[in-house]
Amino acid sequence: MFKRIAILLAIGAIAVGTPFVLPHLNAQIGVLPSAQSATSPAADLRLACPGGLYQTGGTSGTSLTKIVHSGAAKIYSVGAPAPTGNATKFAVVAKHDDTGSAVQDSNWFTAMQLQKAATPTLAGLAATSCLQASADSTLIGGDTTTGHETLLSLVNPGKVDSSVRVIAYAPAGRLGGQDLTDLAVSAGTAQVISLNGLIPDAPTFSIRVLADGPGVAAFLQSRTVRGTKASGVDWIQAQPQQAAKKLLVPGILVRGTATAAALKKSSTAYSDLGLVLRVNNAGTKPAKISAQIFGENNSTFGTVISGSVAAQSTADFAITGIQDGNYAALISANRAVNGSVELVRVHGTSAPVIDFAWLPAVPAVSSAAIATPNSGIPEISFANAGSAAATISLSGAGSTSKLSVAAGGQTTIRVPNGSTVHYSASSPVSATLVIDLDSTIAAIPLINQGNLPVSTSVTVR
Amino acid sequence: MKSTVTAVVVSHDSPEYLAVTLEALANQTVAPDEIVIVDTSSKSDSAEFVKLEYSADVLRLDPKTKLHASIAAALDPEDNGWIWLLHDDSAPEPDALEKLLASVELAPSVAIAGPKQLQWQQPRVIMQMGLTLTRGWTPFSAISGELDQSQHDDESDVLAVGTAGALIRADVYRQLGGLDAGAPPLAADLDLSIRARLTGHRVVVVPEAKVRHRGLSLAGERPRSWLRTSPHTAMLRAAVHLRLVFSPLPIALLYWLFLPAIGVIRVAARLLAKRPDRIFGEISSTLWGFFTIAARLRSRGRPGTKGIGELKPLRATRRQVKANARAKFEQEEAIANLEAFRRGELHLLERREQKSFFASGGIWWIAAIAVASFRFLPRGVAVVGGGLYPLGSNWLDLFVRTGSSWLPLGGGFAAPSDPFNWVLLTLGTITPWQPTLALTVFVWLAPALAFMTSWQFVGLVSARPWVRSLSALAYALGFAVLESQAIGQLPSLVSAVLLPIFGVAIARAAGFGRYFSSRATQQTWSWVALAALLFAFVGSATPSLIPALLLALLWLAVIRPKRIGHLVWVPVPLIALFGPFFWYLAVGLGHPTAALADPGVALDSAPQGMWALLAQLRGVSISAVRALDLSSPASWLTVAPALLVLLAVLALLTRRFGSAAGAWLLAIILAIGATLFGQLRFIGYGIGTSSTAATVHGSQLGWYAALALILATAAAITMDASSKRKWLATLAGAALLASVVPGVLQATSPATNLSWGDGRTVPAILAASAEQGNDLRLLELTPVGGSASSLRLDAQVLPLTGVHLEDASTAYRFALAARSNGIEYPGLARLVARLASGNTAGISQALDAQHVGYVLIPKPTQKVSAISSAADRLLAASRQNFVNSLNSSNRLEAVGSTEFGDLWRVIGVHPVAVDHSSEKLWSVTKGIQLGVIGAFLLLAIPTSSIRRRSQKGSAIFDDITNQDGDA
Repeated sequence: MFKRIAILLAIGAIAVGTPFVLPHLNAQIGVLPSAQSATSPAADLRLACPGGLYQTGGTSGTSLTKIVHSGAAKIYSVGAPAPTGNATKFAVVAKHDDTGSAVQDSNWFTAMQLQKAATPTLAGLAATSCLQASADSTLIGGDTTTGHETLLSLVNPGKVDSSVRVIAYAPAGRLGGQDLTDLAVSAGTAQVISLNGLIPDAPTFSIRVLADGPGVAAFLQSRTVRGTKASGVDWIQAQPQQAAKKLLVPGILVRGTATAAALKKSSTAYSDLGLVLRVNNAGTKPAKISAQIFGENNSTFGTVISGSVAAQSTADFAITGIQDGNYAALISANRAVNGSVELVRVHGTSAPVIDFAWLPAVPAVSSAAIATPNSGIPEISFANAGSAAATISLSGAGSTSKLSVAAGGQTTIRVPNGSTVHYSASSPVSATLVIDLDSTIAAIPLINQGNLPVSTSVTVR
Repeated sequence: MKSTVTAVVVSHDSPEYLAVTLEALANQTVAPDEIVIVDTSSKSDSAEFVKLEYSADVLRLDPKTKLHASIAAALDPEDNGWIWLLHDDSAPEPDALEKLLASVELAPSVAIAGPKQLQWQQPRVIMQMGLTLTRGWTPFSAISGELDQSQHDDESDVLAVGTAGALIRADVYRQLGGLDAGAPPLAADLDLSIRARLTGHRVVVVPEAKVRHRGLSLAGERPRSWLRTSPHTAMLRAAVHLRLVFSPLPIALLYWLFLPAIGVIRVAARLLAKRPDRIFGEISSTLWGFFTIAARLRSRGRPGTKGIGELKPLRATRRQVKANARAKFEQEEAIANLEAFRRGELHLLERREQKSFFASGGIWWIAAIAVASFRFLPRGVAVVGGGLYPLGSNWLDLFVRTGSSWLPLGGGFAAPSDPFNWVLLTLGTITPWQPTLALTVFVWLAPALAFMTSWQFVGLVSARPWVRSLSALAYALGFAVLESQAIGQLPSLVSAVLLPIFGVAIARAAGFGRYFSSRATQQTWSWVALAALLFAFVGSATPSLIPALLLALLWLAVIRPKRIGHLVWVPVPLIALFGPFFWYLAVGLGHPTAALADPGVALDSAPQGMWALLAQLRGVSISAVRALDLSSPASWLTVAPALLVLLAVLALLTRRFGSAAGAWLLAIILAIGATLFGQLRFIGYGIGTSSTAATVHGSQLGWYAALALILATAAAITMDASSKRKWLATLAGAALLASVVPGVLQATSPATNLSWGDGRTVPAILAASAEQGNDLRLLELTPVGGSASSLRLDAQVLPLTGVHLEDASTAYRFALAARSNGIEYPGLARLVARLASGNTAGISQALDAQHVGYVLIPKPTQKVSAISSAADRLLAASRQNFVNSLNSSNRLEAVGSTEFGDLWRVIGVHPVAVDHSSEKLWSVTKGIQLGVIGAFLLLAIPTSSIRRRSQKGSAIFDDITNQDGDA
């Protein structure tokens, strides 16, 4: 037995001791294949503009199935000539060289359209960026309750037909059975659909447009009618950025809060006159959000909102207690979300001019450009969510100015009409152009739509 | 008138036998009239000795002089008497010549009379009484090895007699031209006798005349130059010669024409008869016969070569041949038993009856394990996921890829396919109409099969069915088998199933184990061949185990030196399968260690430390064990497998502690090997790679299986020892069962990454297109990272039939680095860049050149809604951008979203012709590999020929056994 125990102990000692003397190889056998890098010129950049506002009921306003354009929009562009005249129907802005061929690798190429409407059914200032076609667009804003109308405009600027699926997210979640599938948008055409029929009587929703085949440029047209009088209209463009846990919405230039409060008190018809934050959570888990509305100085202190958004749903959060002033909203969430702020502008009490604009969250970039309209009061609102102050060099109409945006702060500056304005910042900032024209309002996010050459690294397996 | 007799004694380097022969010659009752000694010895001793002792005439000839020339030199051309031929090792009894002469005097028609040849050392045993031919033309002696009790003394007329002691009429000898100079040595006497017969003379054997014959030539005790080859080969050459000389000319020519094919068949027959030692002779004689046809045809011109059919009654019957084979087998067995007795290996003689697997209720265990593995029950033809891909749609596709020297990957290139493909081919052969079905069923039944094979292995240390069953259960439901099954690591699963039976085969080949028999050489060869094939398969599946298994083989050779002759054959199939593959990796690519990489689809797994491996606690470190809350049942479940280790440790305290210590040392070596191998990282790129990891760790699962098998066997020693005390046996059994509980829970757990389908690896539209003979390719692009202005992609160019498991190539993985700098891949990268940018300018030519008919972006590995990290979000965005780019291309038509991902068809592709000439069904490598596998398979197949040899008979030439296909 002694011998056996001795062997047991010896083997045990070997088993315990060996790991201490074992070398650690951590060696790689073979050579990794090197990736093949290639840089390819980008495809032609084509920006699609929705064109003139839509009017339901046809020209007469009585045909239930007809939706026609009403009026025309003026297109302003940077980096490429805008179409001459105003655009009645959808338009495509592309950059061409002297021979007329499309130019690739376009940086500093943006376009936007602006239209002032003043008809019995459409009144207000409507503006939107002209957009690249996308296979996945999220549009936040709109209302289909009584007195409100929302239309979905889909433009396919490409050369290949597209098949589109539309998903609506409401506070109760994804609207079951309401998906529009296999909606064909032929190459070089636009389609418009009334959401009032698709998601009737919905005060809060957001729309997601998924395209198979080439992408489409998606826009919502939202208008309000109070009684028999048109009371605001706007284009809601696709969110310029992917859902994220931090979003920044600049350009909340609040004016006429006292008037709005008086009107709200006077009639329930004006109950919607206020700032609203709308958040969409397309994820499968609920999101907790917190929105900080911060002002320019101590007198515009702002407020903080918190709440939760159920999975695959959209929620509205009223922004109250805000004084007149310039603000930006910083939305923080524990899940990736997307959001917009509805800015309402009221002027006058006896015959109030009411208009609204949906301000999307804008990605922070170091530089961007935009063409300002010939009329109205164009202002660019910069917001800085970074941890350090950003120095911005702003040039336009032959002059250059510098301004500083504090960390976690925002600054708004008036820019000249009819000029190309571009900025470059020491660190990325978000910016929105807000246009006030006769107390009507519209907003355009400053985004860089340039299509730089694509660098591709390919590893062949 | 008394005839004169000239005794001719041919001597060749055997003076000690010559002395005895001459002494016997001198003592004849009727002395020969003349004695001529022809000495062709290479040394002068014999001649000097004869001169001094016997004063006989000695004719000294060149040592290279052949028998016919030696006799011719000794004869007087005018002599009309008798020639009495004697070899230097054939000593006649005193009255031998007298009896021979008496016989021929009474029968004038007799031209040749042979004596009864007796064994030199045992003169009471008959060595030969005349010669004949089998139906296969092999020289054959019907009476041989029998005790001489005069039972055959009524024999007289025979087809032929041997020249040793033969009395030949000199005139007939001259008339026939003497012995044929062109005949091989062992055919010469038959040739002479047959020709004498066919020229109207009689050939008889005279039983009363006796000659002791040593048979130095047949025993291989003469210098090799005498027969010019081995005795066995010389006998085969004799058969070939006789057939070519005496068959009718058309038949002879037909035989010659088919001689190579006949040689192959005979080699196969030799293997089937477990006589690999005879293969060389078969090949040699076949080649000799084929290339010396001119000499055979010349021999046909000699007198008396026509009309062999008339001698049919004198030829051997099939029954006689069978009886001869049976007698030989019994003789061999007796000798083997005697040798085993001398060595003291009594256990080899005491074959204890033990219950077979099925008699022990093994089938119920198998059924239970199969039911417990219900989550792997085939729900479709093909199982996919993890490392599993379907096999090709038909057996021929699989065969083309196996052992090939050209891989159709990428643009195709010359490199050997994985040896593992032979395993896949074997699996696929079970269901040749749908090879992947066999793989699917195998994955389901693997634990049950592992149980069966390990049950056999444990039988090496215990005969008790309950011990074997419990130990086998611990192995079959251990981590190695179940994890391999769950993640679809087919190579390690194959290894886990085959390792135990390989262990049994190698043990039996080496003469190990308590209850087996090695009495018959044939059985040993079967085990050697089986071990060799399993070694090749296990090595192909888990190459990292090869060094360890070779070490084990070396160890066996050291402790069983007498088995080296057998064991040396075990690595041969592995060398045949691995040779070209290893050469390519080592010499072609300069990465010899790449041969250790796991074959099939590269899968990564976290390496385990040595202690975790030894304790069978995967994923649980010592510190983690220390931190376990043992008050929780879940914690006990975590450490339950360690009970197996505890039982294995206790084996060191049993009476068989020596075996247990050996097992533990082996276990420690395996754990060290596993630990070190797990630290190595191999290139993970390659066709069909399931992950986008650049490198993958060496899989420890194969090592884990070997380790678990050893520990289960050591535990069996403990349980076997405990069986005398019921309570102890119950305790040990309960402990082992408890160690299996986690395995049972895992086996029945519904979670698995595997899924079942119809065997397609590409969308149906592509499969349909491929079936119509479309020769286009599929460009599969997987975004793996990127930013707003850059994109990282993995690209694969595949046939429209998609990737199958046999397409996975280790050589390709390691050759990619060199190939990525070639001409083709940068062009592919430029094409992909254009597609990614959405810029269609200039892609038409590139698509045509790359032969791309479809573009596929595989489904993302995780749903968009489940994405949480910023990198994954960026990746999802990059993928979407890429999809958008492809959608906007007017050269691509979106087919839609398929179960494999988003698919586009290239519009108006103008494919260039693809050269398929390199993709051959056969190659030299494949031929050799298939030949080796086939040879070992024939050797491994148990044959029943021995049982059929029921007829009693005798044999004279050992070499005659089975050499003519009718035996």
